[in-house]
Formats: sequence, C-alpha cells, structure tokens
Amino acid sequence: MEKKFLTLLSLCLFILSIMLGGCTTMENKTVSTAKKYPEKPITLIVPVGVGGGMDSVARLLEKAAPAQLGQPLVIINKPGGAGTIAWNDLASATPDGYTLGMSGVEVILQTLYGPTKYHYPTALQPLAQISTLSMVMAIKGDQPWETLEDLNQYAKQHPGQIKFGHVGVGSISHVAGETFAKSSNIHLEQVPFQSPAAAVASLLGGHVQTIFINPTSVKEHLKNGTIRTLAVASEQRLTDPDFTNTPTFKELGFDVIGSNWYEVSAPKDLPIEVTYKLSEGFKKIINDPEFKKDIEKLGLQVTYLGPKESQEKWLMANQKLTKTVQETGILDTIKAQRK
Amino acid sequence: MDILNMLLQGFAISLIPTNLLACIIGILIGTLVGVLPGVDTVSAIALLLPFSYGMASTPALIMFAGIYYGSKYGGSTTSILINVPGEPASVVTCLDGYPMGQKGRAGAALTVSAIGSFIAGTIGLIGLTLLAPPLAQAALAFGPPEYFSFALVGLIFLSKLTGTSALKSALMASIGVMLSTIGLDSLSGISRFTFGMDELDRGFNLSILAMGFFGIGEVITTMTNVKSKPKIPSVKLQDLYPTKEEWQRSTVPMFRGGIVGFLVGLLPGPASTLSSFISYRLEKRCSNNPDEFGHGAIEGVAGPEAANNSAISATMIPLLSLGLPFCGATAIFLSAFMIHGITPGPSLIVQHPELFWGLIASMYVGNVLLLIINLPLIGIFVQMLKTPLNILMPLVAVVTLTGAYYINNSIFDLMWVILFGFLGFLLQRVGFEPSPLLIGLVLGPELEWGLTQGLIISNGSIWSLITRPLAGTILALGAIVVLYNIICFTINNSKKETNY
Amino acid sequence: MLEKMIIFLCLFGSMAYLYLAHGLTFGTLGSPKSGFLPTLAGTITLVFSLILLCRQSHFREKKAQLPVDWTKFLFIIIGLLFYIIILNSIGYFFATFILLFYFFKLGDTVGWVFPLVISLCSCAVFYLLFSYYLKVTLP
Repeated sequence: MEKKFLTLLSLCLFILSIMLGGCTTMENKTVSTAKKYPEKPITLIVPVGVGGGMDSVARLLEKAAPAQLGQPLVIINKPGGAGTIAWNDLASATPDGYTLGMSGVEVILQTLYGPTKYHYPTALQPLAQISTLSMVMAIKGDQPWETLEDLNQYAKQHPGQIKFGHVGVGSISHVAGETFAKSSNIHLEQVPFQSPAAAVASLLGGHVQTIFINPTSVKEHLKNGTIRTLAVASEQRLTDPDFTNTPTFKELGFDVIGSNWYEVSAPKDLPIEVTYKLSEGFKKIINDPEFKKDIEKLGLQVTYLGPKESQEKWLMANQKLTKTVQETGILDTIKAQRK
Repeated sequence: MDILNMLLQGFAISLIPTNLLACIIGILIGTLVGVLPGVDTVSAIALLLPFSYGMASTPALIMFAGIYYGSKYGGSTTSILINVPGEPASVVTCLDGYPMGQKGRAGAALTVSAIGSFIAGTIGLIGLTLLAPPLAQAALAFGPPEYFSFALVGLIFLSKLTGTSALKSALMASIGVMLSTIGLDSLSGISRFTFGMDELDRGFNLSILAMGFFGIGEVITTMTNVKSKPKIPSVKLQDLYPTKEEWQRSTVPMFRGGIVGFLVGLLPGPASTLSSFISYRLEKRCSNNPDEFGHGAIEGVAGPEAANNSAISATMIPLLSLGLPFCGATAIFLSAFMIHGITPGPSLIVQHPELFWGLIASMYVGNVLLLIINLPLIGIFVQMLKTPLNILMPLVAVVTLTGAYYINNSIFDLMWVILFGFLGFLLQRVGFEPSPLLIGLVLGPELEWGLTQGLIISNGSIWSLITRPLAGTILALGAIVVLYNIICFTINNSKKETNY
Repeated sequence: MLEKMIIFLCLFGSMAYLYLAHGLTFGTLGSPKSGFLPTLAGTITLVFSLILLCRQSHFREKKAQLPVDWTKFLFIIIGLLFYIIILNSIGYFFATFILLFYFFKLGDTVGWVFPLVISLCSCAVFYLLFSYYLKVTLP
C-alpha cells in the first residue's frame, strides 16, 4: 500500500516538474531586443575564488556598475581549473550581453598547454582591459646580490644553486622565470608554489633564492627592506612610487615575458549595439577617478585598453607565448607529466 | 610594559561606540555564518565588502575580524545538533558532538564548545599580542621539506581517529589521498583523472564531502530507520549545562586544544581544520577511556573546538606581521585591509598602531561578547531538537544541499553531496569511518607539494630532505610513536585475540 | 555481504585508478612527477583492500545492525536525484518545495495540509535567507 502510494507520488512529481520546466524554458525564449539593453542585471563570472586581486577588481566594478551601466553586476565566482571552468561557462553562454566574465593571460596560456573545451582567444572577445600586472623578480633583502648582473654571475659560477619560486607550472610567473633563465643563458631550478603568499613565505624563509611574482604581493616587504626587487618584466618602469627604482628587464638587456592583465570579456558574436554600450560603459567606469583611486589601494594601476586594442593584445600575446612556451621547454615539462 | 600600555590604548579604541557596534555586528554575522553549513567566512566577508566602503577603516576591519572568529563559535552548533558541520573546522566535532546530542547532552556539548572556544580564543590572542613578530619569523623556518614531514606524520597518526579497525581507517585515508589527486594540478600543470570533465578540474572540496558523509548520510540513516524513531531525551533546564564530572573532564582538553591549535595555526594550509583533527587525536591518546571516543566523549568536543578557535588567532599572525595570507579566510581579510587603504605587513604596527592594537583589543572584547551571546542561545538551539525527526530531517537535507550549492555555485557539486551521502550511509553500516578519508583529502596535496618542492630545494636528494634539522625532528618523533604503537600492539595482541 | 561489496568496490576502484595513473609519468624518488603520489596511493589502497578481503573471509563479524527500510532508501535517493534534475529548470523555490513535501510524506507525516504548510513556509524562509540576505544566485 505504502509502496504504491510512494510510486504514485514520485510519478506526480515527475509530471509536475516537466510541466513547470516547460513553462520556464518558454519564457526564456522571448529574446530581448538589443536596443533596450540592458534590461536586467548582468552576470559577471569571476574565474577565481573570493579574495585576491582579480576578485577584488571585479567587486570594484560591481560597486560602480549601477551608475554607469544602468544595471547592477552580479558576481559569480567559479574558481578552479586555472580559470577554464569559468571560461567554458562564459564561452557557452548566449552572447546577449547578460553574461560577462573576468579574464587574464591564462585565457591564452591554457589553450597552449593542452586541449581545452573552447579555444578561448577565438571563443571570447575582450571588452575592456582594466589593469596590467608585470611580474617582478624579487630576492630576500639580506642577499649579497645588488643587481641582476650579480645574481647572474653567481648563478653562472654555482650552477644549480639558484632556485626560483613561482605560482604554479604554466602560470605567467613560471613563464617569466623561464624566459629570464633562457635569455641569460643560465640554468635555474623551478619550484612551484600553491599561492603567492606561499612563494613569498618561502623566499623570506630562505628556502628559494628568488621568486617571480606580481608586484602587489611584495610591495609591503619592499618598503620595509625585507625584500628587494631586481627587475620587472614590463615595457616601461612601473609608475607605482615603490617600484620606480626597479629597472625593467629590457633596460638590462634581457628579453623576459611576464605580464598578466585583468580584463572584462564576453562570449564572441555580441550584437554590435551591445558591444558598443558595454565598452563605453566600462570605459567610463575604469577611467573614473574614484575607481582609479580604489584600484590603487589594491596596489594596482589602471591601464585601460578598449575592445579593439585588447583584441590586438590577445593576438600579439598569443603569437609570442606560443613560441615562448615551446622554446623555454615549459610545454615539454608539462607534456612530460603524461606518458 | 610597553605592550600592555599599547593594548590598553587599543581597548580604549575598541570601546568607542562605533567600534563596539561594528564588533557586535561582526560577531552576530559570524555566528550566523558559522551555523549555516556551506556559508563560510570567505564568502560572508566578500558579501559585506561593498557595504564597508562607506565605513572608516577601523570599524570595518573590526567587523570583518568579528565575522572571522565568530564563525568558529557557530560552526560547532550544527555539528552537534544535526551532524552537519557548519564549517570545515567543525567536521571533527560531529564525531562526538552528535552522539552527545543523541544522548541528550547537546546542551553540555554546546556549552563546553562555547567555553572552550572562549578560553582558547583568549589563549590565542595572548599569543598574538605578545609574540606576533618573533612567531611569524619562526614560522618562516618551516619550508617545503618540513611541510612534507608534517603531512606524512599527520597522515599516519590522524588516519585512525575513531572506529574499531586500523586497517579500515587506513584504507579510507588512502582513498582520501586518491581523491585529492583528482583535478587540475598546478604542481605539474596538467589535469589528472578528470576524463575531460571541466567540473572535475576543480577537485574535491572538503566541505562538500563532509556535508555528504555526515549531513546527507545522517538524513538517510534516520529516515530509513524502521524502528520507532529514536527518542531524544527531553532536556530539563538543569541538564542544559555540563555536570561537574563533564567539567572536570573537559578543562584540561580545552587548554591543551588551545595551545595545539595556536601552534598549528601558524602554518600555511587549512590550519584551523587540521588543528581540530590533531587536537581530537591528542585527546584520544591522553584520555583514560579512549573507547568512549566516537560515542560521545566530551573531551572530543572540548579539545577540537578550542583548537580551531586559537588557530584563528594564530592565522592572524602571518597576516598582520608579514602580510601573508596563509589560508582562504585571511586572503579575503587581506583584500578587506587593502580596499581600506591599509596593507598589513612588517610595518603595520609602526604605521597604524591605533588600528593594530584596536583590532586586537576588539578581539578580546568580541570573545567575551560571543560567550555572553552564545550561552543563552544554547537553550534555544536545544529546543530545536524537539522537532519531530520526520520534519527535521528533510529540512536538514535542504539546508545541506543549499549550502553545498553555495560553495561553488555548481549543481554538479550537489551530485557529489548526494553520492557521498549515499556512500557515507553504506560505509557507516559496515564499520568504515569516513573521517580518515577527509584527512587524506586534506593532507594529500600538502604531502605532494611538500615532497616535490622539498626535493627540488634539496637538489633531488631524499636523504638531505629528511635530514634537515626541523624535518628530521618531526619525522623522528613520528617514527618513535609508530614504533611505540607497534610494540604496544604486539604486547596487546599476545594478551588477547584482537578483532581486526 | 554489504561489507564485501564495499571492499570489492575499493578494490576495483583502486585498480581503475591505477590504470589511469599508469598514463601519468611516475618520475623518480629524486624528482617525482605527476604520477608519483597517485601510483603510491593507488597501490596502498589496493593492498589494503586485498588484506581486508582476505581477513574478511576468516572472520565473521556479528554485529547487530539497525534494520533498514530499503524501499524508503531507494525513494530517498530517487527524490534527491530528482531534485538536482529539476532544480535548474523550475528554480530553487519550487524544486525545494516539492522535495520537502515529498520527504515529509516519505517520513510518514500525518495528513496533507500540515506538511504542505510546513514545506511552503520553510521553503519561503530558506529562499529569503539564502537568496535575499546571502545573495546566493540560486537557480
């Protein structure tokens, strides 16, 4: 008796849910016209967990969005898989401007290392770049090396003694370290770390000799003298007053690639009006003095690029990094992990 | 004397009405966050960050700190009442807290955990006040080889938490390590065992597994029980608080847990979770009646709950004096600092003494307030247990599922919760304990990272890795205890026929 | 019986895992690669499950176990799986309402109105709490 009743109950449930499910999908099919865009809150997928640089930047966008975009941004954190989980979601979303995502250099790097579900550089389109982060090469304050040349000399005389820390195999900080080693013709052992904090802790504890890391993670220690920076992997010196004394690798004659960036992206084939509205909106947000001030509090600098320039940057970076990961042997290191 | 003076000034700052109000709001939110499974400190602070833009930096940070340590008070509540850990750090509280609740001693368990939290929180704070800079430096001496040794020894000891069979526990622990290797591994840059499913790339989350094993597992166990529903003895007012005997048994574990938690909290990784497991194991070893553990031993609630609270104070040390967030909750805390234009680090005490000491003093104040708020709440929480089980359990299921969804915004995770709930139910029936599996999951990555990094640092020689002074000491201590156990086991074995 | 099944599950699980781990490079003790820990963990699991299996045939554990209503067990699992399937299409509120009501009836609550009201109320409370106060983007 009871069994019969339960079977009946679950059958009812099934039918009911199908009916209800049908109703909602019907509603979703009413396509909103691009002209009235945006009519509802816009989802912003963040490929990292809560906390940390990119998430904080996304939250600053959230703060400014209602005034400039006309609708609030709703942040969804989808961490894991070096961003691929979030970007797969983004690439498969309807290109109606209601699903956007944060992205960085991993958009390009991840597709180079192995097959990803989508080829992000072509499945996504950038809307605006907010900030760039160029990796710095940092050593502990009490190390004897004053300049990059000193360290280079030491590394040549003591092969295998210098080990560099970075935040994960295949990450941009790893790329920076390997390109440096290659362009100065020395061999550096690489030590991957779980997080920037773990890398800095190991540097301070003297377990690794140098690290390649984003400037914000070492800024306080730099002020205090417990850490010194030897060089930065950007085109020009950083404008942050704490880093103006740090020379670029280029000045010192090394060819080092190591720039990450934070930007807002959308799935490909967004309607032109929507792209225009969004890119104008983000341009206003990013160039707002208050937003700039907030970004600086995070230890970052605003470097705005529009959709076109960002797309060009992707192309450039893609070409360069494809060559780099092969030449430095990073790709081989990763491939060697599988039989 | 200087420190005392500064601290007194800090108290003056923290008792300014706005700051006091911020502290109270913080701990209230923290308690709620702790009680709700799946909702963790990290997401709560992230949620409140936008609201804090308009606040001055000191009250805002006091509020966030309140959420952080307040959540560890609340985490034990759901563990004890409904077997769903409210926070990862309270997983171990399920082992003895829930059986205590079943015996009608939920009130005692809750009281002990609140008071233990208070005592340990204060121990941790004293450590933080007096020793922050030197301890931060000492923690840096721990490099990858030390983490490896720590994880290895930890895995061996913690694998046998409760239960009858060492072999079954060890099997569970190694399955936990297996599960921990699933997902994208940034140590090697490749995805392992994911079959190309990107949802698997994320790997397994401790909370998801714990919610499945304990929460959904318990729902299934209770709802499928044929016998008349186990009646939870009704609680009289005088039964709400621990008996004299329970007091005596839990005092020492509270202090011991406080000290253990503080030391473990200094290290990177999931410190507060790990500290509660270690404390539990320690209490079991020190106890006169270890057989009672897993069936409602009050030491098993007092120790771990104390440990995770003092671990919280300890995790603030690397954050405040080095600017290094060693766990997720301190990472978001760092963001909160930076959004308010303050970067923690070696110069924080010098540059912003009023903030630093105000914050620390507010934590003392907050701990007292939490105790005052939590003790009367116990009575209300215990009343909740009077809800008939056939009403309570479906609600538990929904809370667990919603909480699990909240962690990663993923329906895929819900499938894991249900699968592990199902497995947890079956495993429990045949005497397998799920807790060693969770230990394996936590320590597996630590082991792998520590080993790989450690070997590169010591030039690929395993010998120079294990003979580093600190790492060697940890391993040697581990080996001694293992040997001691084997000897005891052989002696016992010859005495009586053991049930494997 | 159940115990044997679980041990077999572990055994086959670890064998499958080891097979997959075989595709990863093991490395050496001096420089472990991605297959190092998986291979070790898989092997240990395999060994433990084999030992347990051997032991199991020697010992017969007689422990009084709680009797279980397996039909109910099946219905709970069906209900939970169902919840996941319908969650995305009909939204959190309705799906949760249906699940709660289903579970209440499964738990032999008396009458129809009472469980209906309870599930509706608690559903509303959860929705308010998670969606409104905690800003969870519920489906």
